[in-house]
Amino acid sequence: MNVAYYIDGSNRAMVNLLKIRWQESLSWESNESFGSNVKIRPVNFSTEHKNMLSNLHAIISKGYLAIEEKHDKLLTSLRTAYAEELNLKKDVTSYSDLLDALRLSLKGYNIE
Amino acid sequence: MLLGHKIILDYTVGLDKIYDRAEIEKKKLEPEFEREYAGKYLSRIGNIFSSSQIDECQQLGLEFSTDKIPVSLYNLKSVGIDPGFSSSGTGIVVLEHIKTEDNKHMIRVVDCHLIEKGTQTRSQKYYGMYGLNMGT
Repeated sequence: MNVAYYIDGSNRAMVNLLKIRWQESLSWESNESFGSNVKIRPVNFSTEHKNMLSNLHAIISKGYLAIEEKHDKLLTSLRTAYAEELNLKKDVTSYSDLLDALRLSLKGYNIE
Repeated sequence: MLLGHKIILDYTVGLDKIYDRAEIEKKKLEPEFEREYAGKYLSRIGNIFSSSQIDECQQLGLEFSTDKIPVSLYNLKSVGIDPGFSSSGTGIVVLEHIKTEDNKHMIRVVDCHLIEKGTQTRSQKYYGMYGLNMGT
């Protein structure tokens, strides 16, 4: 059990499809805490997005994140990431879907 | 009908002609260098991360690349999925936690995909792939 999947919980259909794929219960809410056996972990993006952006910023500032040059779209999304009061402006951020996926994936780690 | 073709002339074409090498070295430190002198489409510069922070990420990426240190089945991995609806794409980022020789914790991006305006079927193919590859 060493892979966790963090997914935007607003797309319930997709979450349910993944839950079925990994034979998990379809009774879920995105604000619940997950046990270690739960692979598919829906995240309430609308309430968590600021925290996740702040966490991403902290991890990059502390030099904990390594990104290879081949992930050029992800690097471009970081370079162009533009926010106002921790609200990411998707219309001026290139490849913002990748940035969202990156901040979701960082929920899997607790670095202080 | 093809009316022409695009020619990208970066700064190297004008080195020692219209650009002075020392001046270019100074300009390289500026965040807009790639856009203004290297012919890259980078849109505007964001306000969250500085160029030096992103350069450091890249430097670490070089140091801890998957070519040098292969992905391990035993390390903790986290996959972030931003599923797209009909008007937006699907982003998938796979991270792996590694410990360096001096016991420092590091998170590296081992894979990342953008599925433009993805359908659920196409995205599912990727999720299935990760499930199989990572021994889950």
